[in-house]
Amino acid sequence: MFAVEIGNVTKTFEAVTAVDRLSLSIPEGSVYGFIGPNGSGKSTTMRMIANILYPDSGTIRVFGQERVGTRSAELGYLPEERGLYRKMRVRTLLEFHGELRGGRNVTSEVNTWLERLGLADRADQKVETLSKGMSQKVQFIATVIPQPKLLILDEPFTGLDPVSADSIRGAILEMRKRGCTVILSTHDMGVAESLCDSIFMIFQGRKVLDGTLASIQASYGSDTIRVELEGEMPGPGELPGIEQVKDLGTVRELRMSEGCDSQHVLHTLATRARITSFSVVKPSLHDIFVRIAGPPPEEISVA
Amino acid sequence: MHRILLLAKRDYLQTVLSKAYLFGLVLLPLMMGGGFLILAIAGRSNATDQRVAIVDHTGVSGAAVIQACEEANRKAVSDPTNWLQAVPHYVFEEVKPETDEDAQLLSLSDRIRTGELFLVLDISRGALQPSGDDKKDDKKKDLVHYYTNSTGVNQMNIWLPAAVNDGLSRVRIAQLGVDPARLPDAMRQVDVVSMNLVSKDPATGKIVQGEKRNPIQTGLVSFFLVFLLVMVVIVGSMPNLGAVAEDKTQRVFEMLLVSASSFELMMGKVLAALGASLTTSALYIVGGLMVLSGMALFGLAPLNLLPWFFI
Repeated sequence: MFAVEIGNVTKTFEAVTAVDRLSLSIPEGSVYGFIGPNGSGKSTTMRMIANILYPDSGTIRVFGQERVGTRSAELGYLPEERGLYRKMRVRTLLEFHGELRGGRNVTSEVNTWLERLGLADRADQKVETLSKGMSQKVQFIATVIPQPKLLILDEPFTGLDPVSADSIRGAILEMRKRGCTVILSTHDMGVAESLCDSIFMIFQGRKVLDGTLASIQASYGSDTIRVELEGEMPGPGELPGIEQVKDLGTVRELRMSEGCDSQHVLHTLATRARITSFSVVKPSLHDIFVRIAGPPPEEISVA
Repeated sequence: MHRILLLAKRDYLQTVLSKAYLFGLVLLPLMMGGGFLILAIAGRSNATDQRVAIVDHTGVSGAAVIQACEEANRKAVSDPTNWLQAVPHYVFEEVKPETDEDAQLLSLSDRIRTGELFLVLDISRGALQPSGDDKKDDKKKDLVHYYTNSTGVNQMNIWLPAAVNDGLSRVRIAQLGVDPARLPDAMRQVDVVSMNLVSKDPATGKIVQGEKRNPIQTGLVSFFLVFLLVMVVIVGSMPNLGAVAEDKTQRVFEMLLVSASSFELMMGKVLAALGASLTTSALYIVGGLMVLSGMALFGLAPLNLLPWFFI
């Protein structure tokens, strides 16, 4: 059973095609990560699922139903931009959002969540007095209070310190444990790799990746060499079959072209420098992201 | 419906408890009242003598028109209902018509431009023999012209036509052979006074004559009602306009649109604005009635009109 089924959806803003013939199925109870460069169409897709924007063509089904123009407490949406009433007090604001969505009193849930995310002592303060991270946590609580079955989080970790990020991560995993489907967008590939069951990448409005991390990595094969050596690293032109050399500091990452023999690369390197570490690995999600959305291959340094 | 009421309640409370609303509630009447007061004071300080030239092409009407205008000016200066508007004292001078009428009017217009004159009144030759059948012929109707550089409304616009006609009528009556000495009595105007309704004393059963209405007080009550309407609209709507803009710019709408439809959101805003306006009406009306009661003028309150401020 799928929580969300997107069928051939297109959305344009005047001359710009934000989402182009996108099809995607998100299983119930999964954490689905949306990745992609800025302006690629992640937020537009999320807004269409949340019924804030409507597609120009195609269908979006949430729990099997098309819900154009309808609102439901089953869906929680955390926008990328902070959208809180700044003059309201934290507790009043959360109770307002809870009642608006769930149609019931949510005082006890509000207290529990405030306590859990370390905001209990801020409950009676105005939102405008909170830091960016605290506002983010308040907005997260406002989103999850009615216990939605589908949670859409647009960059939920932005502006959070590691402790707060961990508490939000814990809350997301707990929501999943309860059966909630979570869609989240992130620019942090580490978060996508560690938190998401499946990853979807959108680039220039089109789907370019969709699947589990393992299946995505498998499709790229073990085409990456990580090497540590003493001495000067030869350039890509001096290493046959190597498309790109990335200097990560102590480690260099070499991307092999199709048909390249890693043993041959090892032999070539050994003649030029003393090798202390050599391993053939699958590309990281970060690497895959950069391969799709980054500039053409050349020698780059990210150290 | 529950969502609309919830949204309306939140917006209403935010509006009426905001500093902007409370400040507006107090500050707007003060600013508007103060504005009128400053205008009145400034107007009175500017109420200096103004010179008016009269060119009489009939050759016999100048003195009578000047006399009628001076009487009207004196009356306007002493009229207590003109407390808000400046009424200057006009000094009239009769200018002999010249052969080249256009050149003379140009010369007089230049004197207005330099500030030497306030107004030029040009009475044409036919002013003493107007024809009542020439309604379609504007040239025959427009027998008296006046020229001024004043762009605003001034007291002279109000009484000048009647005063000029009064002066011309005196000349015409004199030409019919009536003794000029008897003209002032014949032409004297009487005051038309507004009275309160006659009533019956419930205790004695006697008929009680209505009292003379104070024109200042009745004028003030009408003025206050118009004033109230403007303030209710401004004070009630401004914070809500700001709230809509704030919700949009701070992306609150995006958060709310998951929970409520755009219709529900806007209906909530409309109801909140309505509530704020009704609160403003109630506060101003109760305040106004208390002021009238304190001044022992409660009878002037148009109680029959007040419910309309809540509709």
